[in-house]
Order: sequence, then structure tokens, then C-alpha cells
Amino acid sequence: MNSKKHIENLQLTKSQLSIWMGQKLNPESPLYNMVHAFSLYGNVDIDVFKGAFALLVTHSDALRCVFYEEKAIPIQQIRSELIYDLEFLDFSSLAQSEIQDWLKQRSQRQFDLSTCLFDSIIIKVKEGHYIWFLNIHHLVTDATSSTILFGLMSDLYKRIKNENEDEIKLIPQFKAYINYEAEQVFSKKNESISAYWKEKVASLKTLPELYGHKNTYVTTKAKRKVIPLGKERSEKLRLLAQQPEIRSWTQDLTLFNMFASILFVYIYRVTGQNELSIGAPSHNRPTKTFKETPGIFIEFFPLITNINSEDTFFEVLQRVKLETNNYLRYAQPGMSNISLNKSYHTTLNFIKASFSAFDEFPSCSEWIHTDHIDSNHNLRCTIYDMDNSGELSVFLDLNEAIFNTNLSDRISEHFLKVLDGFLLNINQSIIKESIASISEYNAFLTPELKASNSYVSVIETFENQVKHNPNTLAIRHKKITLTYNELNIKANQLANYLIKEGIHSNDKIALYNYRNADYIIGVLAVIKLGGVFVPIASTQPPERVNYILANSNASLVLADTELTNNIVNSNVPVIDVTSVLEIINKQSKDNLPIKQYKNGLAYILYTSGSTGKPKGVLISNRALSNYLFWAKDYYEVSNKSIFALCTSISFDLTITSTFLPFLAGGSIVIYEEDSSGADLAFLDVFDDDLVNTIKLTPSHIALFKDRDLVHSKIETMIVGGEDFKVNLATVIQSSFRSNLKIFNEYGPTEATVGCIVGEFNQKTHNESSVPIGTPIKNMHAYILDVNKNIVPNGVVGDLYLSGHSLANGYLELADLTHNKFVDNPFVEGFKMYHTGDLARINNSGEFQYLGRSDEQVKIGGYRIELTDIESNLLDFEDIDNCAVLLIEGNSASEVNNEDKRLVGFYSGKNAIPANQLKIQLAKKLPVYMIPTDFKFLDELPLTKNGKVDKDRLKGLNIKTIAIETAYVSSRNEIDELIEVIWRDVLKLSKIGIHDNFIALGGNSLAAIRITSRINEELGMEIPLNKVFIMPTIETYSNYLEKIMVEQLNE
Amino acid sequence: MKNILINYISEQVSDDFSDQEIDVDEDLLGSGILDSLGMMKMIFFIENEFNVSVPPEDMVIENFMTIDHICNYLSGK
Repeated sequence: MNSKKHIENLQLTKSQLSIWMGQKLNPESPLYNMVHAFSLYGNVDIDVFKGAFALLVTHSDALRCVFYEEKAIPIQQIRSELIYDLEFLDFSSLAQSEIQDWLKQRSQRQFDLSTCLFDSIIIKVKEGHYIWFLNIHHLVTDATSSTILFGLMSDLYKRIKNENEDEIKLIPQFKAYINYEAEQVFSKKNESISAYWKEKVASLKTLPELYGHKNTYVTTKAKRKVIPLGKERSEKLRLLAQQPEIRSWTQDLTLFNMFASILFVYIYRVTGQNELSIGAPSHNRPTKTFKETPGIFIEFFPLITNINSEDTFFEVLQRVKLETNNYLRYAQPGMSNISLNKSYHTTLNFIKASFSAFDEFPSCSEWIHTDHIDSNHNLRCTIYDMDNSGELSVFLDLNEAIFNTNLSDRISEHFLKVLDGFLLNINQSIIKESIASISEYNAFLTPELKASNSYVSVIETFENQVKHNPNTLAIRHKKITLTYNELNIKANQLANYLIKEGIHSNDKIALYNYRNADYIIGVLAVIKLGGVFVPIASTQPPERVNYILANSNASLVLADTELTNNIVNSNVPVIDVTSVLEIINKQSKDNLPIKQYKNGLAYILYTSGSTGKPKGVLISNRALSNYLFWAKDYYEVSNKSIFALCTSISFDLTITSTFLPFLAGGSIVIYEEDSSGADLAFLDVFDDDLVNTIKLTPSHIALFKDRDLVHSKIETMIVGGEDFKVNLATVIQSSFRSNLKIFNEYGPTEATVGCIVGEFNQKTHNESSVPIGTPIKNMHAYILDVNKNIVPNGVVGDLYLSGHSLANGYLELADLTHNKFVDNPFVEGFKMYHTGDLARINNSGEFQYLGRSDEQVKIGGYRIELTDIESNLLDFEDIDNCAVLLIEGNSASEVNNEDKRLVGFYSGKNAIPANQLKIQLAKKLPVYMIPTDFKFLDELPLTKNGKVDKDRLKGLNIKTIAIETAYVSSRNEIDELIEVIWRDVLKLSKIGIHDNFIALGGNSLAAIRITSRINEELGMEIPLNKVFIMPTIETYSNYLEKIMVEQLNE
Repeated sequence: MKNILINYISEQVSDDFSDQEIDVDEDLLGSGILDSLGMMKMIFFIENEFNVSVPPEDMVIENFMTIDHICNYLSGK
């Protein structure tokens, strides 16, 4: 102890520094304990063993290293002397499992880094079997060091036993390496090496999320999953490693490269990310002396490569081979740093340990894992080639923050599937086979899809309700009420009339209506006569209406009086029902004897098409029936159910409210849209408070989220059409009575209204979006990679749908139908629809919607193909090229689904006034598809492939878009008041009285804000829709003035 | 060239061999004088020392098995 003065302070090496930091951050965790239990088969002489160990400590300076902190800087010292009394324990009375438990427990022991960094015990298991337990802190040892220490110990034991201690030769000291490394760090010749590593990690953008799991907390806890590869796999690997085109410098390096390739492919397949990085230790023992020195030498450096779906295993291996060669070239002691260490969270280590014999005793070793790893690491993969057994093992240490128990059970299956693919045929595509586990596979395929399920007719069920509850209320629309019997009679009479007009089964009849009782009567009449209805909402622009009429080959269109004028140049006969009501009323009131065939069509619904024209989706009676009867049970629809019909009839979400109550004796309250184009009728639902069930979109909900609706009658809210944020759901849950049930229903038109559904649960749903749930009855949903393989749970893939709700395809678009509705590879005889949506399975087994893989966007629940708008823009003579983007605002909170707008960028001869573009587009496209802003550019930025570079367009500043109407300032006080409010709400600095509300970026939310401000300021009750009907300050102001004058005169 | 390589190996990589001569036809990897790390470090040294670059496709045992092989390879460049 008095020699303390002579003790030299030494720096820590880079690796020691990183370990020291890791330990300091997790002071209680045994994450750096390197623990071995060496079984020695023979009768160990305890005294000799103790003597040998004392000599081992004397000879090996690494074991005498201790660590202090001086002014927050860690330093190490090598103690000249360390007296260690090795313990002997006789466990011969304990059972094997008790000894194992004891060892595991003991391995968790904390070290006082300032006194001694190892724990060494000799244990008697039984006669002829001893265990040398050796636990050393990673600050002073590594895997090679363990082998060296074991060899030295064996040698010392032998010499003491044989009494030839004099011949003990000195072993090289670790201090030499500490000094060597310090020299390297400051050496000028290593500058190019630093530069190499700096550049290497510069391009890495994000670390991949394994199985889509984010690190939600920091822990060192980790489960070790051991995968013994067995004789056959190990032999195959070694055989493959000898092939000339696979071989690297040595067999160990070749095996390392093979496992690195397998690990890269595995990470790619459980993350979908292309640019990947793995940390691997360099042994850092360049000289023969260092190869014989106990101590910590290893240092981690990253291996980085790109993996693509087109790759074969061989191609990956070739790239990895190049990468490891560069790695070996530049992995110079002391050259690692924090930024390199942060470039990976997966590590790969290849350990070849040989603890052959201890003196004359045969021996074997067990590496005891402490169940703790570096908290920065999500996954540590160690390939263990132990004791020359010839059999390799894969140890996967799984960080608990990423891998829950459920997942850690499946991970070995995933890893082995990648490895087996590699071994089966190294020239095969890396994504040829699925790597999903059997349980994951089966979860997607159960319950089984069966071809023959019983079909229940929707119309017969309705007629049955009529028979049993003829006088029950079926429809209420303003002052009109219809009982089941009345509604049925009207539908029968209309159907009979249509038959007399020459309509047959399977004919298509367009229903061009406002939301009213006539629409419902029309729908029922068409189904009753075996026809196919084609709903067209009043808000559709005339050109689109005429296109749908022509394209659908409709035999007839039933239209509301006010809408008939919009039908021009059409060969389709138009019937305005009110004009022939007298004749209709004379028709038979009886149900028609026509049967609806399950494969016959029920309706054709038009959705945005990528070619610039809408496409008709063909829905069969079977598909409609499958959805409706599932929904009836799931939503517990009864004769007490009152649904609001308040969303567009051109939107398949509305099918639910149109039919569902009629299957159970419930009723519908209809909320008609006005002619303004802004369909806000659903807001009246809450004022009237007549219904208990409502279906709408998140965009709708955002418009009434701030209202106090605790006393509302609404019990069930079905939400569909677009991504539903948890924030919004939470707000709504608290706005209504506490037992409000909120359902999130997912489904494209092509799979009939809804096919994946889940109930919102405030307690368990804590990600940003509400999960979409699980598939409905008779439907399957698959999450597949680009090769149509089922992906493991958690991994993002393309969502495919199959089953009885699937549409028959698109009308007269055989190629598109063929491309989108492909054969189901899992269930024979079924088609599978490619939604273009991305999804994953979350921890609870629910499907999570994660956006689109293509150009489709959603605004207010409306599905819009951006190319649809672009094709229509290109119809302008002066436009050469264009791109339409959905720009999401950043000002409002996440709750606000309305803060999205379409912006059209174009190039051509000259700029065209935005108003002119909007007026022209409005003839062909619905309001929600017309861009809010336009930007003329001399040239659109292009990608390498010659496509418009939308990412670069997104970066352009479009906030300063000029208002292109001539500026006229306000005329009077009312103008001024309105202008101030508009400026405030729309966040603009200047608005002329002729500027259009919509053109200024006004939307429903803005309309609500403006209207409530005006009403507040003037003490009036101006309806919400007026701002859409009179969309300039001038017209709105004139209207207000008129009302004020009227009020004064009263 | 041969001597430069022998010196490099003796000094940098296998300090223990310094007093004994490394044969020009000794299998560097096979005999354990070099491992893969040592091999890549030597290639790095060669590139800097002789101002050549060794492309990835040339990094095969056939070019680097012995000091003779290396000299042959380098003289062909």
C-alpha cells in the first residue's frame, strides 16, 4: 500500500471509455460482467489451484487494473499487488439445477471498480467434476482474453503441481497496449483513417426500427435466445465457406461474412429499411505479443451496406465481403468514437473459443449471460464456435425495450428462415420465401375462408321487417316520415313502374339525388327489381355526372327535379320521379317476386381513378350482404337503432347508414345537403339530437370536437374513410357521454364499406393513430412484402384483402381489375385485392394503418388519386407539365384533420389565373379535388428517372402565393368587419372584397370559425353554409346588410 | 520490395518473428503469421508504400499467399 506514490495514472482506451460510460449510466446493472463457468473433469487440488490463481493475478496486469474518477475524468491504475483469496465451495450436496441457479445469481455481482474487477471461485460439483467460476468486468477483458487466461491458469496449475515454478515465463502486459493505443490516437498517419470513418457514417440517415418497435424506454435488460445450429447446418455452412467464389482470406472471416450477410438480410426483412449498419468488434491484436496479452483489446466499428428486394444472397455476400475488407483495413486501434458507436444498434460478434483441457483434465466451458446488455444495443448477435465442437450456435441478446416475450419467441424462427434460405440456394432472391413464423402465418389464415357460406338477401330481410313491424317508423326527413309499410309500398310501386318502363334485372339505374327519402325509395326499388344502382351525389360536377352515366351504361337515371338540368348530351333517359308520381302511385303495392342472385351486382360506386376519369367499382349482392349482416351483429343494431344519414351517397361509407337499420327494425333520420357544395349537414345531427348511431369521417369529427355533447343521445359512433388520430378519438370520447362506443372501420370501396374494424380503447391505444382492428367475418387481410410473402408481425407491408366482401372488379377496366385483383396465393379459388395501403400488426395483434404506398391521398375521407387531378390539368392547352401535391399544414395540432390542402404546380407557356383554373376544373372534378393553390414554375424539378420530383416541390415555399383577383378594398363597416375576421381565421394579411373564400384556402373548419365570430359580433344566427353560397366579402356583406335591414323593419 | 515486406511483417505484425527470417514462399495466412486483419493492414501498407491501389477483385489469396506471390502481383501492375 505504501507503494501508491509510484502508481502511474493511465488513460482509458476508447473501448474502456465507452464501457466506463455505459456502466456509469447504469450503475446497478451487471451489463459488462463477462462470466464463464469452466467445468474441469477431474479432482482439482484446491491448494494448487489457489496458488495458481494468485500467480495469475501477479502475472497479468489486466487483472490488477482499477478505475477512479478524478475531476470527472476516468483514469486507470495498475496495482502492483492484489491479494485475492480465492474461495472454495463444496456444492456436492446440491442438485445440478441449484448449482445453475447459484451461478446465475452470482454472475449478477457488482464490482467496485476502484478495488477489484473480477470474481473467481472454485466449486466442487461432485467427485471428479469441479467448476471454475470466473467473472471479469469487460473493462479489463474480452473473449480472446478469457481464452488466454484459461490457458495461463492451466499452465500455472501444472507447474505448481509439478513443482517447477521457476520455469514460469513472464506474460506480456496490458499496459503496453494502453500506451500503444494512446500513440495511435494522436498519430498523424491515422488522419485518413478518421476521415474514412467519418464519411462512412455520414450518409446513414435513420436507424431501422426492428419489427416497427421504437425504443420507448432505456434498459440494459435483455433476454438471450440461443439457437443451436446443429451438425447439419454447421457442416453446410463450413462446406459453403470453402467454395472459391465465397471464400475470404480465412475460414473464420468467410463464416463471419456469411453470418453478416444473413444478419443484414434478416434486419432488412424485419424493418424494410435498405441502408443498414451493424457494429462488429475488431480484435485489435495486430501483433503476436498482443495476441498473447490478457486485457480488453476489442473495439467496435460499423459495417454498412444497402440491401434491396432485388438482391440475391450471393450479391449481398459479395458486398459484405468488400465491406469487411475495408473494415479490416481501417479498423485501427483507438479510431472509434461516439458517432461511430451510435451508427448501429445491432451488433455481430464471431467468437471462436477453445478451452480444450485444463492440465490433464478434460474441460468444457459455459458462457453465463447476465441478462443485461448495453442499453444502446437493441439486438446483439453472437456466433459461437465453442470448444471446437464443430457445431455453431447463434446467441441473440434481445433488448427488452424492443422485444416483448411474445416477439422473442418467434425471432429464432425468423432468423433461421433467413439462414436456411441462404443455405438452400445462395443464388436465390433474399425475399423468395416468407420468414414469418407458423403462428403468424396461421393468424392471417384463420378462420378459414370458405367458398360456400349461406347468403342472406338484404331485401328479403327488409321485407320481413315490413311484415312484422309495418307501422314502425323507417325514415324521417324534415317533416316527412315513412313507416316500414309506407316505405315498402313506395319502393314496390317505383319498381313496378320501372319494369313497365322496360327495366329488367341486371339493368343499371343511376340515382342522381340529394340525400332524401326519394333516394332511399330508389335504392330499394332498384334492388327489388334485381337491378344495379349507381349512386351519384348532388355535389358531383356535371361533367363527372355525365361521364358516369355514359360509362356505367345506365339504362335510366332517376334524378331530383333540380338536378335534371345538369344532365346534357346524354342518351340515358332521365326520369324526374316527382313529375310521374301520379302514375307511380297507381302501381301495385305488392312485393316483387324477383330473386336477387348473390353473384349479381347490387351497386356500382365511382371512385377517383388515376387516369383522370373515375372508375366504377362493381359490388355484388353477396359482398353487400356479407358486410351488412356482419355489421348488424357487430354494432348490435336493433329496432331501437336510429341512424343519421348525413354523408355523401357517392361515398361507400354511407352504405352503412343507408341499409343497416332496415335489417333490424331501426330507422333513419336523413340530413339533406344544400346546394352550396360544402356538405355540412351532419352538424345539424347534434342540434336535433334525434339519432343514437352515426357514421362519419375523422374530418367531420374535427369540426365538432370542441362542442359539449355530454347529453347527446349518440351511443355508437362509427368512424371510417381515413386515418383516425388517437388525439381526436380521445377528445371525442370526453365530449360525449362516457359510454360512447367509438369504432374505427377500415375498408376501401373495393372491399365493400368496411372489412377491418376495431373499437377505440383509450387505455390501450397510445400510438398516434387508432388501430384499424381485425378483419370482419368471411374476410382475410394480409400484410405482404413485394414478393407477396406474409411478413412477421410488426413489420410494415402492403395490405391485401380477400373474402366475400371483395368487389367483382372495375367496370370495363379489365387490365386494371386484373392488376389489382390477383389470385389469392393462400386460399384457392379466391381473389385478393391490393389496396395500396401500408399496414403492420401491433403488439396486441391489431392491424395498424400506416399510409399509402402510392399517389392516392385522402381529404375529408374522400379518396383522391393525384394523377386524376393532374390528367385534368394537362387538358389545359397552356400547361405542359404539372404535379399535384397534398401539403400538410404545420400550424395546427394533430387533431385537426382539416389542415391539408392540394397544391397544383405547373409549367407551360404562361401562368394562368388560379380562378380560371379552378372554374375549369370544377366542371370535371368534385370540389374536394380542386387544388387550393396553384404555382406556375418555368420548369418542374425532375428526378433522375425523369419524373417530377415531388419531394423537391414539397420543399418550395408556397406560402407566398399571390392572390390573383384584382384587389378591391372594403366599402363600408360591414365589409371591414368581415375582412378582419377572414384575415384572422385564414391567416392572411390582405383580402379584397372580390376574393373567393375557397380560393383563399377556406375550408369547413374556417367556415365554422368565421360564422361563429360573425354571429357573436352581430348577435345574429347566420347559417354556416352561407359563406359557401356567398363566398366573397362583397356578397356576404350584402347579404348581412339585407338581413339587418329586415330585422330592423320587423 | 521483398525486404520492405519482410521488414514490415517482422516489425508491425509479428514482432516475435523479428529474429528469424520469414521465407518468401511461406504461406502467410496458412502459417498463422497473418490473420485477415493483419492481411488487410498489410495491403493498406502496400498501397501507401508503393503508391498502388489494390482493387477489391484483386484481393484474393492467389495474389497474396506468400511474399513471392505479392511481389509477382505488384510487378504485374
